[in-house]
Order: sequence, then structure tokens, then C-alpha cells
Amino acid sequence: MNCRDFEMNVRALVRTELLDGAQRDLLLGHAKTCLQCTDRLAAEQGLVNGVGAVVAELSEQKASAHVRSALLTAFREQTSTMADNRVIPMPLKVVRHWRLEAAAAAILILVSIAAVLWIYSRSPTEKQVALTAPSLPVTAETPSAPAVGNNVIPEPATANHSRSRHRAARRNSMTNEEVTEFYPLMDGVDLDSLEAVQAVRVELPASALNDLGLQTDRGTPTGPIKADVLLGQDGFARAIRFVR
Amino acid sequence: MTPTTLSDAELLRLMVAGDESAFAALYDEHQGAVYRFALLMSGTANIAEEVTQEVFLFLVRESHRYDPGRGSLPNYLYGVARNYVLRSFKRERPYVPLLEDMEETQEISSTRFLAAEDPLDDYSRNEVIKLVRRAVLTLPERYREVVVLCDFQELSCAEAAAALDCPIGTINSRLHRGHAMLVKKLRSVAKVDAKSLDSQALRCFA
Repeated sequence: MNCRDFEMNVRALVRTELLDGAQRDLLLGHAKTCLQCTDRLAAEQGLVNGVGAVVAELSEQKASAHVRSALLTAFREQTSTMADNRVIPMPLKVVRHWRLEAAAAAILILVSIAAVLWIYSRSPTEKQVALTAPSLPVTAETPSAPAVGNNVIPEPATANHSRSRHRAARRNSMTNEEVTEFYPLMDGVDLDSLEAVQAVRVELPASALNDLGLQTDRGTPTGPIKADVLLGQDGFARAIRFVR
Repeated sequence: MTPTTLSDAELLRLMVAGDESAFAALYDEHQGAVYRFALLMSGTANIAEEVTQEVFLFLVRESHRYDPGRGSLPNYLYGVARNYVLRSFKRERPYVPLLEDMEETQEISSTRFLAAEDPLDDYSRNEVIKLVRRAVLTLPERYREVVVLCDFQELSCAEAAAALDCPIGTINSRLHRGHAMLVKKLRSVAKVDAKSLDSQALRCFA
């Protein structure tokens, strides 16, 4: 037994832990012969006694009653909060559905607005197209190609099903119009030889008739006069007819 | 079956379900240990009460964090209490005067220290208690918590390891080191003659 062994076992010696009689006697015998280990044993013994005294002193120490009451109050509040939270999932679910529906409605509204804007943004062009509805390219495979002299403006070859109702009404009104035959605007132009022409509805001042070399009388309106101008692929006007 | 006859796990389950009596039973069962741990760690009754309240509030609000597989409920509460105590140290440190060094108490005679052996001498016993508690408070926190749990709260090293969430080897070494530091502090005031020591030892192991 040396001081190191004593140090390793002094705690167990004082606390009577896991030591048999022979080992205890060895440790106590060493303590009697070693002043340093005697002091060490005394200090350890004093520590154990002191700890025991503190434990005994504090054994009945507890938190005061107001801590308990405060905790019980907090527990009740927590319980009530939890009870409220248990009810929350249902409304949350409803809110989540409501949000989905609102999002869907918003998307629908946006799409509708975009569609309306698209339609109105196309209106001037379409108006022109509608006015020039018979002005679609006249191709060989188009049986209703606008022959010069036809009194009826042919239906467009490619009807757009999405066109609005007022365009259809306008088309109907156009079919009731009286038109003259096409007058060539350029000498020597054979209108039948044109592969593709485009008719553009225009409004001309009545004085323009005179410029074209047409005779006007008093019965000729002084306001704008409607006319369809046939344009060739090069964009030059080839012929004109008047509409009443 | 009354709540007091139920196990901690059953009481905890009832508490989570909203049973106030179960919570009260848990509190009554464990608040003393938590309070004493906090008191020995901090040396202040106010902090001990505050920590006790915080620990059980934490249990109410974060009861799902307790994993029975990792240790008993008391050990878990010790661990929570330790965290709150250390937090209070950080908060209070700038305002709490440093503890007087143990050397200042050297005028306390060894006979007064050893008078703790005499259960009739209350005054001396109170001095001993005061001396030991002050010595414990001078320990660094990592040693203090182990000494408090193993010596004063009488937890085994394994239980302390579970409470403090560190290996048993660490607990053993810290406990050994903590004892050595405590003994060193107390040795200065506990000059014992070998003769009385022998009689104490014999009486102790008789």
C-alpha cells in the first residue's frame, strides 16, 4: 500500500463502499504510518461528515407554496391553450380550402381579363380584317375567289370560330351591300391573272370619285364613300369597287 | 388509483392529457430534489425557486422532449435544472459579488469543523454546513454539478451521467477532481489530529 493506492481508495474507505475488511485494514494501517495520508483521510472524513450535515439540513427544503400555485395556474392556461389548439385544425383546413378557391378564382379572373384585353386589342385589326373579310388571299383552291364583277363579297375561306358576334352581324350586313364591279386602277391589268389579291375596305371622300375620272351627279352623297380596293401582292392597288 | 400511486411515466401521460392532479403529483414528488439541486448549485433560494419553476414549466410546455429511454424523469429534470442554473449564472454573474475565498474562513478552527460530529452542538453544526456549502460554491461549475448530484443528491455515477448527458468516465474523473478540490479547501480549516482521526475511523467502520 502506498500513498497513490491510498488516494485512489480513500473515498471508498470513508464512504464504506466496496471495500472488504482486509483492504480497509491496509488503508487504515497506511494512514497511521503516513502523516500526509492521515491528513487526507481526516479531510475526506470531514468532507463526508459535512456533506451529510448539509444533506440532513436541506432534506426538508422545498420551493415555497407560491411556486406551486403559479405552476398550477400556468398548467391550467397551458391546458386551455392546448384545448384551443385542438380545435384549430378544422378552421385551418377550411381556410386552406378557401385560399385554394380564392387562388383559382383569381386565376380565372385574370384569364378572363386577359382574354377580354386580347379581344379588344385585336378589335381594330379585326375590324379591318372584317371589313376586308373578302380580302383573304384568292387562291386557286378557293372556290369563292372574288371574281371581278361579283356582287357578293365571298365568305372568308378560313373562318375563325372565335370571332365575336358583332363581327358576324357586320358580315351579314355586308352581304346586303350593293357593290359595283371592280374598276382597274392600272392600265392593262388583268385582274383574273392575279394569283392573290387583298381587298381593303376604305372610305373615300366623294371628291375622290372625280380624281378617279368618275362622273358624279347631285345624287352622289357628299360624305365618305365606301369602297373596296384590291391590292396585289406588291401592295399596289389594282382595282376598286364602290359599295352602297 | 390515486395519482400518487402511479409511476412517473403514467403521471406524465396523464399530465400531457391535461390532468392537473397528475402534474401536481409529479411536482410534489420531484420539486424538492430539483429545488435542492438548484440551491446547492446557486447558493441562493431565489434562484433555486426560479429554477424550480422554470423546470416544471418546461416540463409542462415541452413534455414531448422527455424520452424515457434515455433516463428516468428525475434525471431528466436534473438536466433541465442544470441548464437553467447555468443560464441564471450567466444572467446574474455581473451583479453577484464573488464568493469569498475559502482562505478567509481559515480562522474557523478545526475543532469547530469537526464539531459536526456532535449532533448536540447546533451552532457548530450550522457552521459546518455553512462551510461546506461555501466550499461547494467555489468549485467550478462542471465539478460542482457532479459533486452536488453524486454526493448531495446521492445519484450514482451512471445516473449523473444520464442527467448531465456525458460519459460515466467524465463523471468519475470530475467527481474525483471535485473531491480533491473540496478537500483541499476544507483541509486548510480541518486540522485533525491523528488520534481523533483514528477514533473517528474506527467509529465509522465499526
